[in-house]
Amino acid sequence: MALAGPELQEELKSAATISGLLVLGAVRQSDTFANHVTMTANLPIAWSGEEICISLVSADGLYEAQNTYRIDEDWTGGVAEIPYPTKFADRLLGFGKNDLAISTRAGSCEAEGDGSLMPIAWRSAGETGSKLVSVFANSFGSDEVILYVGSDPLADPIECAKIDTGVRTVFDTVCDIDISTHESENLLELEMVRISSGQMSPSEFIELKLGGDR
Amino acid sequence: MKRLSFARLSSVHSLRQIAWLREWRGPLIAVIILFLAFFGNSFRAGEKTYIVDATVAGATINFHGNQNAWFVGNAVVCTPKAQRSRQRSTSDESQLCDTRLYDVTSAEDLILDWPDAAQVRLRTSISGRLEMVVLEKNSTYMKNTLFILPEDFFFNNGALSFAGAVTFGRPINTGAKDILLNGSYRVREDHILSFLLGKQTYQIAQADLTRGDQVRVVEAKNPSVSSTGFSHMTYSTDVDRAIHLVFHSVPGEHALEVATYGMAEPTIIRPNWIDSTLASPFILIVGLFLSLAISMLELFAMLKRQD
Repeated sequence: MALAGPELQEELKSAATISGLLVLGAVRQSDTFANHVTMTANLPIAWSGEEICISLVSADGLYEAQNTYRIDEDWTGGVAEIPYPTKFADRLLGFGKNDLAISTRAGSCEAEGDGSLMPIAWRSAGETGSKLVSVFANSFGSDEVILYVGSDPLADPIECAKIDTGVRTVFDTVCDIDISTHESENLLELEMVRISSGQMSPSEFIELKLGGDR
Repeated sequence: MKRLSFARLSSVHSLRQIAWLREWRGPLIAVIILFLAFFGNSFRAGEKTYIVDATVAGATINFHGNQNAWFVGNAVVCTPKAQRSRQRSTSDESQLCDTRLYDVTSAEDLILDWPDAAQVRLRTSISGRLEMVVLEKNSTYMKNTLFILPEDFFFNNGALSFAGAVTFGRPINTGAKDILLNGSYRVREDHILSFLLGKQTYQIAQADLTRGDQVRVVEAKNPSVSSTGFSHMTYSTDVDRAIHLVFHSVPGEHALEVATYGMAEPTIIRPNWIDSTLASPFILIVGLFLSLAISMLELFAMLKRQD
């Protein structure tokens, strides 16, 4: 596992990035935070020799990074430590659990990224993080954001929470999904619905790649 | 002998000092009074009232106390369904809320009795209806309950007033509807001579608010806490389908928090001792009296010299 480019591309700005995206990333939360910057992901063997794109953005839009990584040809599946030689470790370690969205998708960052989203473990003290996956989204001023998890038509949705601290410009909503009952599934289907003034917006469909298939 | 001469010398010196003091006594006292007035006025903890007067498409209210009951009359009440599974029938198009998500009822003599600390977002819809969303579950209403009031509500029912904290507008991200349209804020401070002249205040700061900013009055010592005050809502006379919302903070130490789109941190506006001094009628009148007094003294001194 190595960066495809010569060095890590990241930026700490004085003015915020403003996002028009609906879903900004998925993070596998940790039970205990490591006191250094570390990222781990469960990468399938099928991805050996392939490129993946990892984007990070802070909720206030001041930190942004996007990097293409190449997975080793002889990758045999399992948990990979993703190198992240950041210059802004102090800043990154100051972020709380709802302050940083990480989007990980197959393919290079130059390619159109609309494939499934792989939740990545951020600052996990353990190997793979907890059974809680946080999906970060933009509410676009709606009253409620709800999320249907899996394909069961009778299942009730998850109520997503507003992230209320600070002036949010990139994302303002977090949907916490307990994936313990879905871990056998390789791809987890999510349907996100925004509710405003008593009406539903058209659904947004997202696929979470939980990995694990070898 | 030596000692005596020393004593004589020093007494001559002190006599000279006194003569100098006598000559400049008037202006010196004037300067001291002016400084005392200046410091007294500027560094006392004057109680300030913040007034925000704005036209908004939406605002968030945190009610304070248990005296916030509104008789709203006709309204549609949309209560979130306990079960919102995906196995949906089609929504009843004749209703104002999606019947797949809400139980919709019409009320005729509705009284909204907001409990203490209830959080409500209100806004006007494109059709001019007034919408109120319950943000957090409280003792009376379920979270996400939506009340829809008719477009002629303010004309039929008059003003809505309440005690509590108010956030004007919302950060204007793409899609935000309930924004601040225009308005202004004023800060008034109580008069240092209130104890003599009766309760008086004067304006120490005033400015316009910018469309799209999110504005609230906060505690000066802890800006994460919204200040409470008294507010009223009426129909807007300058923008269609908007609300005229006015907030008066209770007198105290406050600040104005302005969150602007794209800024990492909100701006905190708080008039300082310079604003307070520049606007103070007390400082002005003290200065005026003293300059008059000094002129008189000069005049007397001149007349005396001519004698």
